Amino acid sequence: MIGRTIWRRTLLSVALALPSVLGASSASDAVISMSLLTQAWTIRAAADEPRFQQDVYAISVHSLRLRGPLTLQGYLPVATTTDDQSGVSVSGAGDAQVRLSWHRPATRWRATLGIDLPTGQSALPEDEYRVAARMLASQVLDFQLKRLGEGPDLFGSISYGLPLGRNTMAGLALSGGLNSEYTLYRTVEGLEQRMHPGNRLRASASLLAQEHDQDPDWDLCVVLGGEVADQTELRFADRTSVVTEGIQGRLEATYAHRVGQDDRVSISALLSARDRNRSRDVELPVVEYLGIAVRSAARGEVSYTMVRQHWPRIALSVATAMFKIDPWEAIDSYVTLTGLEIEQPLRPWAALYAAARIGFGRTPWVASAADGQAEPDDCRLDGTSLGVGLRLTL
Amino acid sequence: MLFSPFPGRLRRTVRAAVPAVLATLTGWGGLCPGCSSFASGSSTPTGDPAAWPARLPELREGVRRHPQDLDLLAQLGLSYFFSDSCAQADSVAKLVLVRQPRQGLALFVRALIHEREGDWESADSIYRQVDDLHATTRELRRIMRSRHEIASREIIRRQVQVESQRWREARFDREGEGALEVLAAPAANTLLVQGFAPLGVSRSDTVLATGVTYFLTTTLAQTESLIVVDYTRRELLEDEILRSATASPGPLQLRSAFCGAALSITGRAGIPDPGAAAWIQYGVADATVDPGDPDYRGTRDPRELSPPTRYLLSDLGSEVVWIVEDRLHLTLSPDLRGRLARAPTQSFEAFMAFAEGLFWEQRNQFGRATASFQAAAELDPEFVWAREGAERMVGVGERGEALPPRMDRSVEFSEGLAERTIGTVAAKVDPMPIGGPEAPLGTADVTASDPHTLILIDPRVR
Repeated sequence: MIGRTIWRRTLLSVALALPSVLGASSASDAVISMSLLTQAWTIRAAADEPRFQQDVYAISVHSLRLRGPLTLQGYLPVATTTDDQSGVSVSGAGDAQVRLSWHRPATRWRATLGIDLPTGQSALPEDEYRVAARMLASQVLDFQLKRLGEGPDLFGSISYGLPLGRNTMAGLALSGGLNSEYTLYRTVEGLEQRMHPGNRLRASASLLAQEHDQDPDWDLCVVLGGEVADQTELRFADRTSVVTEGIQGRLEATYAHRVGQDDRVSISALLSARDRNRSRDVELPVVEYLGIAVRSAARGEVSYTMVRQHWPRIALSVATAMFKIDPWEAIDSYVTLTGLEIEQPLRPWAALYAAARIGFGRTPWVASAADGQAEPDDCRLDGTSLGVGLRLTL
Repeated sequence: MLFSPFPGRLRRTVRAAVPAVLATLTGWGGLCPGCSSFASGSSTPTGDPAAWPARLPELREGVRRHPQDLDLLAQLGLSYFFSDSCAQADSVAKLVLVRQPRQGLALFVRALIHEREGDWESADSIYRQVDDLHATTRELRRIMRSRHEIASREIIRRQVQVESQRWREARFDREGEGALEVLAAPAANTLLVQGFAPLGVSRSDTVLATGVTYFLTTTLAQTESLIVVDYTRRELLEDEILRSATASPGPLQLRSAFCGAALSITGRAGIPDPGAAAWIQYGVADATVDPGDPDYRGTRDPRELSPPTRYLLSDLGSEVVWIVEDRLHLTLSPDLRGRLARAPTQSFEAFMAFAEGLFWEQRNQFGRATASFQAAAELDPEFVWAREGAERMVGVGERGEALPPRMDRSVEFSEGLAERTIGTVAAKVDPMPIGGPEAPLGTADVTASDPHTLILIDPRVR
C-alpha cells in the first residue's frame, strides 16, 4: 500500500512537472537540468558504525521564460534514502517547488511568487519517519532532500536593485512565507504527529561591487540578512508543544579575483547567529522530541575555478563550517568538505557536470535513550558525495 | 557596404561614451575635471571646468596684453563658453580661426557650441579633423576624440529614433491587418548581423562568437548592393528596442529580430569540444516577407557548421557567398565571389588572437586589445584585419585604459551587475531557493534558516 502511495505521488509529481518541461520547448532560454546525486555518510558513535545512504534524482527547470518579464522555475526531487543499520528505506518524490518571477530589468524590481506543492510523502510510518528525521534534522550535513511531503506553502518576495555607481550596486529584498500544517508521521495506533511550522518574515540587503562592468578582474559581494519567525507548533493527540526560534541574523561575504586569463580564485566567509530556541510543553507520549537548530555558525570557503580552452571547466573547493547547536552547544560541531566540480559542454545545447566531495567532522547525534532521556553523543562523521547532472538549453 | 558614416575606430568606445552623452544632454556637468586639462600646454593653465568662468578676467587681461597670442585668445573663448556666453565664445573662436583656420582649441570651442545647439553634424565635421589641427596637445586631441564618439552616437541615435518612430506608426496603422509589408520601410537589402551568442561559459566561446560576428559583418559589407548594419548602429538599435519595450505596450514594440533591417542573421558560436572543432549555428530571418511566402529569404532551418578550426574561415566565407547568392538573390562578380570566399587568414590561431582583440576592444580594454591584435599580426603578418586593429589602437592610451574617460560614473551602471545583485538578494530571502542548474550539486547553505529544519528528532531512533 505504501508502495502504491509512493508511485501515485511520483506520478502526480511528474504530471505537475510535465507542463513546465513541455512548455520549455516553445520558450526561449529555457534550461532544464537533471541530476543524480548519491551520498553516503557514516556517523561513528562509540563502537557503532551506522551508515546513512541517500540517492537523490532531481529535475529542475530554470529560466523558463514565459511572456514578457515572467519567468518560471521549478524543482522536483525524487529520493531514495536508506539507513543501513535499521534496514529501512524511504523512497519517493519530495515536495515540488515552483517559482514565478516578474522582473523587468529597466525597473530593477523583481517580484516572486512561490508555492511548494505537497507532492512528497507525509504521514509516514514511524520507522520510515525516523530515517527521514535523521536526514532532515541535520544541519551539519548537507542532505539535498530537505523536506518530504508537507502542506502547500506559499512564499512571496520583492527585491530591488539600487545602483550606487557604474560598478557598485546595492540590493534590498523582503519576503514572507505562509506555512501550512502537515502530518509528520502516524503511529501504529493511528495517532498523528502534526506540525505547523511558523510563518516567516525575511529581509536581506546586499552590496555587490566589481572592478569592471563587462569582464571584471575582481568582484565582491556582501550580504546582510535577518529573519523573524513565528512559533512552530507540534500537535499530538490533544497536546500542543511550542518552539520559538526568535530572530536570526547573518553576514556573508565573497571575494573573487581573476588569476591569469580565465581562472578565478574566490574566498567566502559567513557568520550566522540566532536567539536561543525556547520550547514549551515538549513532552509527548509516544516519543520524546527535541528541538534542534543551529544557534550560531561560521563558515569559510576557498575555491579555485580553472577554465582552459579544450578542457572542461574545473573547480576545486575547500570549505569548513563550525556550529553551535541548540541544545547541545557544548559539543564542538564542524564539517570540512573538499570538493571537485567539472563541467563539460557536450553539444551547443547540452552540458554535463559532475561533482565529488569528501567530508569529515563531528556532529551531535542522538544516541539510544532507554530511559526516555535524549542524550546526544559527540560523533565523528565522514562521508562522500558524488553527483552527475545534465543541463539542456532549449 | 558598411552602413556607417564614421571610420571604424569610432566604434570602439561607444559604450563608454554614453555617460558623457547623458552628461552632455543634462547641462555640461559631464565635462570632467580631466577635460579641463585639454589645453595643458606650457602656457595653458589647468583646473576644473567650473573654474573657467572665474578665470575670465585674467584671460581678458592676458589677451589685452598679448593680442597676438591665439592660444590665449582661444582659451578666452573657452572661458566664455563655460560662462554660458556662447555668442561671445563663438565670436572669439571665429576671430582666432580667421587668423589661423585650423587652430585646434578654437575649433573645439566651435564644436562645443554646435553640440550645445544640438547641431551634432557640424560638431562631428570638426571632430573628424582632429588629427589635422594645429596647436593642439595630446590631451586636447584625446578629448576631441571622446566628443567625436559622442557626436557620432547622437547622430545615429537620432536616425534610429526617427526610423523606429516611423516603423511604430506604420505598424500601428496596419496592426489590424497584420501586414508585415509595412515593416519593409528600410531598404530591402539592409542586413543586420546580430552579435553571435557564445555557446559555452569559457572566454574562448565568447571570443569566437565575437570574431564570427565581425567576420560576417565585415565580409558581407564588401557586397556593394548590400547595406550591413554595423556595431554602433546595432547597439543603438538595441537600445531603442529596449526603450520601446519599456515604454510601449506589446503590439507597438520593435521586434528584436527586425532591428531596423530587412534581414538579420542571428547565431551562436563556440568551441565546446576539446577536439578543437568550432561549432557555429545561425539563421537568417526576413522581417519583410512572411515565412510562408515563396519569396521569403530567410533560412527555414538553422544552418549548422562544425568544421575543423583550420577550415573555419574558409567555410564561413562559403556561407557568406551562399547567403548573398542563395538567400538574398544578389549577383556577385567572379572576382567579388572569390574575395568573399577567401579567408582573411589561413591561421586559426591568428584569427582567435584577432577576435580576442575585438573582445577587449568592445570592453574598452585597449591595452589588452592592442596586445592581442599585435599577437595576431605576428602569427600571420599578412592578416590585414589584425594590422588594422593594431592601428586602430594607436594613441588610444598607453596603459590600456578606457577612453573616453567615464565622465559621470553614477549615470550608467552595469546591467549584468544589476541582474546579479537582484538575483542574489532575492535568493537570500527565499526559504528554499532554486539555484542554477548546478545547484543540486552545489555546496549547501548549511546554516539556512528553514522552519522545516527545526525538525524534532526521536531520541530512541538509532
